Amino acid sequence: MVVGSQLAHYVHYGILLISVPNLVVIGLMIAAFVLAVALRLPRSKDGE
Amino acid sequence: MGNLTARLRSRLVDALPPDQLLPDTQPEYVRSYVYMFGATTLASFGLLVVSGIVLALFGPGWWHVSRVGRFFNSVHFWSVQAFFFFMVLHLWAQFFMAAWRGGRGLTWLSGAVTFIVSIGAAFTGYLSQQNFASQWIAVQGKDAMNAVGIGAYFNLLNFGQMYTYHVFLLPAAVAALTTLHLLQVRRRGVVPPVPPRGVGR
Repeated sequence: MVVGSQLAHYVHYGILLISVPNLVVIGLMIAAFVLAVALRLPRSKDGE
Repeated sequence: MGNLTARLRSRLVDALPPDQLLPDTQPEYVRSYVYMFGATTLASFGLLVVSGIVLALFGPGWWHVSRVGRFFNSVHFWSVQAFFFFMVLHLWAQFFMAAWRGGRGLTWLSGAVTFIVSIGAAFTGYLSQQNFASQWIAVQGKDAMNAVGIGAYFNLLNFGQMYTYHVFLLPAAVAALTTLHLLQVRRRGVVPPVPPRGVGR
């Protein structure tokens, strides 16, 4: 197996051209960022 | 003040008070997932260094052929994905809270330069794989280097040069810049959230 040896599908919209794997990673990053802002960090039992 | 050593010690203690280097408490606002992205970036970098040392010890004849070698190759590959994933999230978080406030300009600058140097470290890593993908990347990328006039000094087709950049020069630079970045964070403290409009900043 060679990492990156297979051709990826691309999304082409106007001047934008991006591979689906890169688009997925960007989506995951935005989701992680929104969740990190929205979710509260749980407190431990002793309140620390 | 006496000699050079004493002056240096005095300046270092003034710049980096020992009681600030390893704090055991943080302000309440740090209790948030957003403030974790720097630490996860650092953890990814640690995994990158460890897996990279293992790869360097055994070489491409091992990491492409044996099952354990492929495993460490994959660990190194996914560590760099995590490294950039969390570093960009850290960048977004610090950008939106204007982390350069309160005399933290050098903290911001050292982080930005670390990001740029890390791109070079990752790029030379792709060139160091010793497979068809790395050859393709080198042949395509050399034109860009020649176009900006650095091809004679940074030759992507020179594996020895790229490998040295990847396993020593650029990781050492990233480690040194990260150390500077962390010392600045310790010295200036973690940046507080942006106050509401109308409240002094």
